[in-house]
Amino acid sequence: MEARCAVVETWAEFECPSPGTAAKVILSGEDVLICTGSDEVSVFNTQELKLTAVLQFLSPVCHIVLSEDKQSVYAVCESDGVYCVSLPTLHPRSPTPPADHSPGPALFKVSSNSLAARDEGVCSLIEVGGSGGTLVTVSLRDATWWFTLYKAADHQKLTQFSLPVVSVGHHVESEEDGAAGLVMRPVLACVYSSDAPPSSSSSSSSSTTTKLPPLSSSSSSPGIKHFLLEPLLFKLLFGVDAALINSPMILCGLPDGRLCSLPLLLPGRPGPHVRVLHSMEQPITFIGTTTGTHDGPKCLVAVGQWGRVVLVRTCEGGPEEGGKVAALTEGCVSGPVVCVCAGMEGLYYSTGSDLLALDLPGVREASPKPEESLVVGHGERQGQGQAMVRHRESAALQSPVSLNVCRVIALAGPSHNASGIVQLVALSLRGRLQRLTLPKGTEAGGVPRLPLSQVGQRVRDLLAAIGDVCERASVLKSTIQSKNHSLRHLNQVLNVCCLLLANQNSGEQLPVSNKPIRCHVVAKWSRLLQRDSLNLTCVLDNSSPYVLERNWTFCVRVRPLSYPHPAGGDITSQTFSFPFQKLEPGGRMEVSLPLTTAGDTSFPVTVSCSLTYSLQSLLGSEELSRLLANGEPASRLGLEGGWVSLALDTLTVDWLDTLQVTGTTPPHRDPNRPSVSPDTVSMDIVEAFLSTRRIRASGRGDGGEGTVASDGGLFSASIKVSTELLRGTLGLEPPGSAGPSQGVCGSVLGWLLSQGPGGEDWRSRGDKGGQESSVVYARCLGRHTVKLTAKEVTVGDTSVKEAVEVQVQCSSMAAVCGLHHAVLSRVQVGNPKMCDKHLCLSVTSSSPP
Amino acid sequence: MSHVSAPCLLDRWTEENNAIVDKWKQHRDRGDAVTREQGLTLLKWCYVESHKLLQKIQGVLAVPAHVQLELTVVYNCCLFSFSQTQLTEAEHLLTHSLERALGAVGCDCPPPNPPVFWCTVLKSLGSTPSLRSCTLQLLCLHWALWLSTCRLGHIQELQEELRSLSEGLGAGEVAVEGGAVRPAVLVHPRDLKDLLLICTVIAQGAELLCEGWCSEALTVLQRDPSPLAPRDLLAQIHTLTGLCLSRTGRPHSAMQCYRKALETDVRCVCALHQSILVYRQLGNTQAEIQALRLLHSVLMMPPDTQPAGAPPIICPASLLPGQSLSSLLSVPSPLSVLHSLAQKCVLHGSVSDGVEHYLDLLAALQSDHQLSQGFSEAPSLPRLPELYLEAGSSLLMAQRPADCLALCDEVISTTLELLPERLLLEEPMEASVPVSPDRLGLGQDRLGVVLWSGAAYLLQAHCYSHLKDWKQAVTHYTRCINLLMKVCVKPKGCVKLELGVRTLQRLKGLALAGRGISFTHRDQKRESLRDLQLSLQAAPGCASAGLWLTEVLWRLGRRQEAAAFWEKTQSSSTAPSFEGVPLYLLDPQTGPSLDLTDLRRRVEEFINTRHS
Repeated sequence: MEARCAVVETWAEFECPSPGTAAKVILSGEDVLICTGSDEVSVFNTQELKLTAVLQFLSPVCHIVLSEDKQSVYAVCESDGVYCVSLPTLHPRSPTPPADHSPGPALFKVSSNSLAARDEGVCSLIEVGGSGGTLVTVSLRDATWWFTLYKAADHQKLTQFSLPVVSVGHHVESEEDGAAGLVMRPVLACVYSSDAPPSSSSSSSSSTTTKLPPLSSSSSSPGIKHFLLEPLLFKLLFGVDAALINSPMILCGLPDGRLCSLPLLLPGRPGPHVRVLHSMEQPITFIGTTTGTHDGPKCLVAVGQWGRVVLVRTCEGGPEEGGKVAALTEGCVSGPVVCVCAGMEGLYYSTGSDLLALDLPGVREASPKPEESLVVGHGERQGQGQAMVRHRESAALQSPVSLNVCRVIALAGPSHNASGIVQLVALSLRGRLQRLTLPKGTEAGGVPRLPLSQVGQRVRDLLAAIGDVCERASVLKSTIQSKNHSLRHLNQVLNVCCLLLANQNSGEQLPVSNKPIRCHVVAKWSRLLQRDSLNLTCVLDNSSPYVLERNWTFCVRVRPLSYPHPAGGDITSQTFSFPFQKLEPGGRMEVSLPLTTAGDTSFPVTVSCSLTYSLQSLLGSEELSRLLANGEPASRLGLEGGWVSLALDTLTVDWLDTLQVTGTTPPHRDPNRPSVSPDTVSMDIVEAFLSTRRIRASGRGDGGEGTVASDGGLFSASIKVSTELLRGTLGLEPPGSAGPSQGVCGSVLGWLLSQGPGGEDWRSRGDKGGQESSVVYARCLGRHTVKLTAKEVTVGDTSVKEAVEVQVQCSSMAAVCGLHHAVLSRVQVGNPKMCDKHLCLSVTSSSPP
Repeated sequence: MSHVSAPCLLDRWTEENNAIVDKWKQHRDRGDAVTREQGLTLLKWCYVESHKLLQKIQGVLAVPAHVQLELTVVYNCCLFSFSQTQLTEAEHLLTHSLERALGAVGCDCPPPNPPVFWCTVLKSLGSTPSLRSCTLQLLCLHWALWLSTCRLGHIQELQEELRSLSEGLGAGEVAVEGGAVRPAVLVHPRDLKDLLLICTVIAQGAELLCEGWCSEALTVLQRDPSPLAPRDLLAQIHTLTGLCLSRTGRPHSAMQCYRKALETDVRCVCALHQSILVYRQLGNTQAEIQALRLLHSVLMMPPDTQPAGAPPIICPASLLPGQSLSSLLSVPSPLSVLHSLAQKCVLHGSVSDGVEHYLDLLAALQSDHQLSQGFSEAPSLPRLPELYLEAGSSLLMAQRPADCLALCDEVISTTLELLPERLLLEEPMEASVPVSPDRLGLGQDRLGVVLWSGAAYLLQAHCYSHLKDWKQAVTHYTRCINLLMKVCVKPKGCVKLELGVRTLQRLKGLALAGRGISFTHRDQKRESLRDLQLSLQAAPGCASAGLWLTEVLWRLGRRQEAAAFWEKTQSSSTAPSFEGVPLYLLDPQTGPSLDLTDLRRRVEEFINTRHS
């Protein structure tokens, strides 16, 4: 199936046509009348592209029909009958309604005075011959189809014909998806013989012998279902009598599939007035013919709801009799056929999911050969005399051309714009009024017929079009891919968020080792360019099942726990961020950040670790702002400015952590000298000297913190902790239980220093010695040598007999204070149960003389 | 409706009922001041309101004190239902309410069989004087329902009770007169009863007549009708009486009845139609033509303007729905009357009038106005091509060959493309298609096309021979003959030929005779002789062909044969009747004249000399 795209232009939106009513659009000059099954009929002007009038009826309108002279519209209301509204009074240029000067559509309430025929069962109607003509309604009552004729002028009931219903129930529900719930109503059409003058009240006999000019184009113009038929076919189908008096024939397609004809002017005809021409065996959606050819179309078309297409044409009779007979060709297109409109040489129809153009072969091609047809011998058709012939093959139809417009439920037109391009007016399932501009070449109902010279150009056009489509497709594909990517990422982000937020919200902090994403911090001295610097090494352990990918950032914020309030009052904190490349589940990332190079940082410091995620880098700024504009969900996620921030851990790095253990013996160097390592260059010495000098110079004056003890003078502080408690904490065996009592003092020191840099070294050295040492020398910030001593003492307290005294000795007052605080906090943190009884604080600070 | 002053329910309901009835009566009396549409709306409103009232009344338990009011309201209510053609609803309401009333006075429910039911009801309720009147009202109503649903049997069974209605209704009124506020009735039951009585007579008479019991029907119809009955119903009774009489072989008495019917109601077209049939039966052609003319003009009169106000609550049409009556009183459509008129005129003298009527008919057929003239269920017009041909031949008779030629051209051009190459007919033709005497069989349009076309050529040839254009005449006769030769009839030994075949043979005979005559005028005596002989073979009974054959033989000098043939034709002078043969198949009246007396003189002289 060849496919071309029609350009869809949405003009206006109306309420969704209610399911079960057949929506309808009618094109009348510049106006489009829209009926969606509500109690309103809208009039839309296609030039001004606006709604010009709304007709409000008393009850829902289920069908509308334009009169032949386009001067009035007939509306079938469910509960009343047929209303007739004159259109010129609605026209905005007419001065009648006072609401005209307002730009909005004028509302016309249709009162019961406009009721033309009170008949609640009317399903469908047609008007023939303008205001002097006849109105024909079809209604279903008592299992009978009633064809009622009214005078169009005064709506006086003229006569009535009946046809029994074959299958009960005219609401044939469609079983296929496209047109589900669509009410099938009889389709009416009016056929004239193309050599017939318009039905007029000719009074003298001379009119029987003179042929009036054929119908003016207005009566056969699209939009009104009155059409002309080739005289021969007309005679074959409807008989000599109808042809003689030029009777318009009413064709009616019933929902039970019968195609009936009813002559408008034929009183004396024997037999039933309503004659069944053919049975389609499926609800009939359309009866008509193409509008193109000049000498009267040679083909009558009926389309069934499930796609059966019947073409009636003339063809040569059989060899035994000769002459002409009406031949019937059946074909099939894929249904359901929701709505149809006739084009110049073909049909346009909608299946609900697509709009298709069907070329009708009978229009141009020769009539079928008799041997391909077979005579239909129904008894009912014998009344006609001219036998109908049915084609044996049903491959008479070309395959339809898709126009790629979906959801069209009502069609009107076609009209041709200045350049000859076909335009249709359509109503979509959602109530959108659309103009469909068909691609050039589908005019003929399908296969474009081009002169040879244009074929090359056409091929190039098509190739270019294919290229365009390809390009568009690839763009779309990549967009889809990136969206998928984003979604996958967002999913990961959300998973991580949930994981961490759940931890936070669960109230109790999990033990560090149980956290799915955890980090720990180690302070390390390093030596670079002959300068010692304290580096903080953060290790992030990802034991969650998720990958931490790009756009995630690991943030470490370092902030002194207690700090001197600077004059400005702002907190001197530093934040370091490390973007992830990709951290697989089970992986770890180690980052190090400089903590200090000299003693300029006041310890202890708090290290807060967090994970942040930038949505902006994932979504782009536009999407993000849209997301943020939505407010609520974003704020619930804590999306401030597009950042997701998830706290991991907060750790403290204190003086103990910064100690560099040098050994169990005092360093060999002169204790007076600042604790520079043996390899330091003179630069350091000079600096140390200078600093020493400075401190010394000022030290005496204040005597405050930061005072460095003078030569030989040491500040010291000590803490006494109950031995029993320490044993418990450190997991040592109680004394006397087995062998030699383990040295509590050594263990204590080892524990205190275990997290500091060099602590392990010291431990291993201590183990090697096999002897516990209760003295450790270390270098602290500011390169002072610190002596940590632990020894068992007895105290006089009744409850705690034995205790371990941890003594800190250093020449720097600040170091002593800091270490003392650190030891104290370690002990407190390590023994949360410890009460003051067990902790015999004896903070003795002995200042050097 | 004011509810203020009503002290008790009974009074309030009575007031409500009277308000509805008053409203309707006021409206009815206002007459022209309101449109029909308004009347219908009001009627609908009254219908709804009265039903609401009845629901209220029947909402409480039936007590004897309320019975009279309730039954009156039911009467009004049912009448409104009747006006809305809710017949089953009305009947249900009626029986239900009567059962309630019986319950109220403490009687058992009778079986639903209407005669038994009503006997019980009348016995238990009718004995109470206050209830008698309103019970009889309902009986009237039930009568109306039976009538409008064609259940004449029930009426027959309850004949006695119905006959005694008049006294009961009168008596009841007096008894009730003493009450304070009487519940009003929509239609006085006595008026209703009178209407029902005459409608029953009509319905019964029509039924009997249709079943063939003419004398019984006559007895029923000749019951003394109330002189106050509506005129149209009286006219119907007269017409039906006339029908009985004409069917029992008394056409003159029937004519009297029809005249009486027409005197009673001028618009009683069926009486006029029936009198036409009687004239036809009596052979009084001139009177028949007069009556046809009258009937046509009556039918063409604009229909009765609808009464401006609302329709009556009960109209006779709704009481007389019977199929038999409508079939008895049916009238052909104006067009078919016009056709009969034209045909009669042409056949019986006044050709120019006939032509005018034919032309009127053709014009009417092409105009939209024919629709308003109403369709008759049984169309009696011939097929349109035949109508054209009849009109054409009448034009030729009226010496207007040019018009005839044009009309025939119309037929020829219409049928030209439809002509088959060959047509093989097997006699008897398949299918039991009902063949009506004046028209081709239904299933034989293909033969029809050939015949129409052939007849059109024949008429044209007649025209040319009338114009003495012998060459053209021969051409057209030849066309006709060639066309007819395409039809091949395979005889199966059937005695009676079918109409189509008979027409075919007659056409052949006429065409051959015409060509023969034309050849004579072109002095082609041999061809002439051949054609005339063939003509007589094809269709014996063509009188002019026999005469012309004699003449040609005479001219050829074969006097012996001419004389023999002359004697033969004179002996079988009983020409076959052409009753029912279409106009265009009659012998041409205006053809080339043969001096018959001269021929007779010559031939008889020859015979005499031979004998002597």
